[in-house]
Amino acid sequence: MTETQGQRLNEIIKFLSVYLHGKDKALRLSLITFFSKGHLLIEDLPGLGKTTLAIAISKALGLSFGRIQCTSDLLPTDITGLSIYKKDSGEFEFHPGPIFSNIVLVDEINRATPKTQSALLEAMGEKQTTIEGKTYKLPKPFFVIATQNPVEQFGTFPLPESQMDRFMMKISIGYVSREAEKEIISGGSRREELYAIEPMMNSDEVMQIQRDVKGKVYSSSKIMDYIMDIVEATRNTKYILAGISTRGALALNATAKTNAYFHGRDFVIPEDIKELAEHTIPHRVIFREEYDSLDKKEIVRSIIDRIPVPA
Amino acid sequence: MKSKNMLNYGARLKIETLVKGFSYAIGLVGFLSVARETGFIYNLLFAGLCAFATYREYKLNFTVPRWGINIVSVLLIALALIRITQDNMVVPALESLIALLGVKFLEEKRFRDYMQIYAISIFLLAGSALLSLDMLFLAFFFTLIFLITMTVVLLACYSEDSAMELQFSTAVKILSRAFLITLISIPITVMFFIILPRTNYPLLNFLNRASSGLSGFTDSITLGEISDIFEDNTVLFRAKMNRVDDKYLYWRGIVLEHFDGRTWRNIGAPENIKLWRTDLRGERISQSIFLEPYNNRYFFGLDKPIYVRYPRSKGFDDLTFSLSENIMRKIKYDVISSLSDTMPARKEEANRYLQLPMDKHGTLSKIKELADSITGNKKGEAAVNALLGHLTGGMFRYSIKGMPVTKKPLEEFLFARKEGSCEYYASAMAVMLRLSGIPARIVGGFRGGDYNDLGGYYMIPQKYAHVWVEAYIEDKGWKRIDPTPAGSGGPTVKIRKGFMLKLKLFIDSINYYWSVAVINYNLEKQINILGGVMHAFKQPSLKFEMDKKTLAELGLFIIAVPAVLGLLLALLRRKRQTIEEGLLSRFLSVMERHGYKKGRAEGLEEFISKIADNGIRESAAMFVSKFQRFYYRDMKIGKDELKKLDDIIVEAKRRRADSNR
Repeated sequence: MTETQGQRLNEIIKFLSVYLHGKDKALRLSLITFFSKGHLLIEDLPGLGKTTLAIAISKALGLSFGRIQCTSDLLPTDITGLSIYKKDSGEFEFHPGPIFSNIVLVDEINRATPKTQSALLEAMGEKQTTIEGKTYKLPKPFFVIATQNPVEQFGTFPLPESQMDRFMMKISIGYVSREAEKEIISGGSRREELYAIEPMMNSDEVMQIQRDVKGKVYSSSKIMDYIMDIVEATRNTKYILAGISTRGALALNATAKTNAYFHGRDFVIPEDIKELAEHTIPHRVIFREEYDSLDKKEIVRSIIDRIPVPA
Repeated sequence: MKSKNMLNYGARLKIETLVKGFSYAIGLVGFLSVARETGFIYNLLFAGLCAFATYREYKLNFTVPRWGINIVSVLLIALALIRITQDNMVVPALESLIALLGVKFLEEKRFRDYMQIYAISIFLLAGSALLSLDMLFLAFFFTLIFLITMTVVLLACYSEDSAMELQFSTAVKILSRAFLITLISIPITVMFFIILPRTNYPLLNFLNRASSGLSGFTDSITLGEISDIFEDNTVLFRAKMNRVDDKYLYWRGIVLEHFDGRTWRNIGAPENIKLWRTDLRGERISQSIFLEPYNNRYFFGLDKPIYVRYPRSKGFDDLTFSLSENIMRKIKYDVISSLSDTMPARKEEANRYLQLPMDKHGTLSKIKELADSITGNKKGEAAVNALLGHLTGGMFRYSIKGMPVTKKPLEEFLFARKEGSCEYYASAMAVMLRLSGIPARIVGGFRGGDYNDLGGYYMIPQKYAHVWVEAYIEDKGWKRIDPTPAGSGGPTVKIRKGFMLKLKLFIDSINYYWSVAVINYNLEKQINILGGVMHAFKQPSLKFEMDKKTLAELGLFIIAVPAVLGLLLALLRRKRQTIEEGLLSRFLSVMERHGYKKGRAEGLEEFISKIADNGIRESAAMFVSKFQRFYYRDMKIGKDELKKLDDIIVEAKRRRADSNR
């Protein structure tokens, strides 16, 4: 069963890559984050297809999609929604905000004020939101894709480190290859077509896969030890000031399980962790100032390359 | 191209043939090492079985059923057990082993059968060492070690892949390695050669207290020198005989007749020309005594020994027997004793036992006063009994601790402390007797013994050493008098019972049989060399008076001990590997032989994805996917799965050859 489901996921990736030229890897990482019940942070320049990626995922999986464009005057209620007095009934009626969607794209999250950011991040963490004293459950599955622009610094509110930890992975899409870009230019944007694609799954199936990943993929105590080795290494290395948190360790395990599932295995191997390490680790540790200018992925890789695998 | 292949094929050796051939050779060496001692029938049987087995191996295509072989083996062992007697243990056992080996050859051999053949061969060689130990043994020994080392290497390969073929050059390489291992093992073995056959010789004796303050037999008695005596549990001799009443258990060793005030010495009785004393009455008891080397020359026998059978043993008029030189190795001799407590003697002879030292401190006159007051008007036996009564009457206490170190030990004992060891009692008694005009002498030996029902012998440890007195009584002769209070916790007979004693006796019977087995085995030379080494270390100034040989042996000892320890450690570390780890390390070593080394931080899939050779990568991937399924799911690898995985490894091992062709 696992293998066929794993295959189906790979088919989805294959299918979507028609619309997302050369973004296979980003797509794969996004899906891994999604099925690990985590949230994704994409750090990239504008115009590289972040929105397209989010739309593609939501459409292919048959899920609802909401989008929030962050600006400095964005209020928390703009995200969560608000109650409006209805004159005819004489009651307040709740109008849900864009966060009440399965997949929420939060564009340029670092432009929002800290107050709005924290409202969003609370919703991400608790999978519920509280408006005027009333708690509303968010739909399931719930997946946030936040983006931020690494270059633009003026008038932004960078996410504090503690908030970064709430994202399971941080990826960047990067420029596509010359060939792929040529194809995009000649064919034009295919976002319109994306809206028209038939969903390949429904939300029930999606949640079943999420449950399978959690419950049926076996993570041996050897793997746990390996994870602990990595965690300890990040806490003891000279490059890093604050190592991986317990939440981070959980994220390493969860993403590794999903990765194994994608590979058609029902058990985790060290490669599942190593493969994702440069997306799961760098954003959740604080590097010492003197090493801040170095390539953080490289540092993480060098740390992991010194940790012996169980076999 | 074809001719080259043909040539290659010709130079290849089937590993099965090699293993079989060498196994037969090992068995043969084991057999030859004992063939001189074992019976002709058995030798013939072995030769027949061996020839038949070889014939079956190459010509016949039938297998002897395993159950049949097992039944025959059990019968052979039973036969050996029936034939073994106490005096003849080794040869029947070896003969049964030979037959067992022959039967073993007949079997359709698996790994353990080969190992059994090697084990039996080693047993045979070890057995041959019990019968005779000459240079030929060494030759057999090294041949066997060499062959077994090499064959075990081959066997390890064989058990992995029974169809394996070896290149001639590889076979030669294994051969030379095995030879090297044998060479390295020689110095270590030489060490054991010196020690092993005599393990019950107190090798670590030099660690003991240097003073002679141990209880035990001595050829002179000095009073007032040592304050504490420590009990020495080492067995001095074992006497194979029927059980007798405890009251007869006086083992006569030496007679001391000259006293100088502190020390009793033996100055030599006339040699007894009459070998058989027929004038002694009492039950005749014969004993076979197994005496440990003890740096003295006296034979022990149940009081009164009248005949000792041992080459060059001399008997004396006072019924003591000795050699002219010290007894430096385990010996066995036969004694006939008469269980009589008196021994007829003429009065003229007895009169030389009245000697007394000069009365320097006035001690003797004091003692004489005491003796006179005790004996009063009594004469002869009555006087003896009166004096004995003084010592055993309860006024005196037995003690081996806190004895006075003094110049006037007897005075101290008789008038002040009134406690001491048997030496004090005997001295005091003898001196008082002599002062009263009664000839007296001190007899040194042992009192008591633990009877071992299992082996039918008495075990006499050093701590049972004892001295008593013989007094001359007119018309009767020498009468044994033991003035040491009985039941006072001394070396007089204590009837010990209970589990510990039984255990001790049981363990000792093993020792006893060992003594019986190696009794004629002359090794004192080797022991002396070792003793010399120990002795040199014992000297405070550490004088190196050893010859080159001794030094070399010492050096070897120093090298061998860490080597053996290291080897043991390595073995232990190997043991700790789980099945999975063992499997993985086998796989990785095969990959390494192909030139692919996995990094420590590299995952298995990561590792195999880098393998360039398609064939090797394919089998590696097969192994990894199967292996991971067990390893990372924390599942035990079953026997069948293990076999499959091993097969994959073997296949991967051969990949290179295939792709090279």
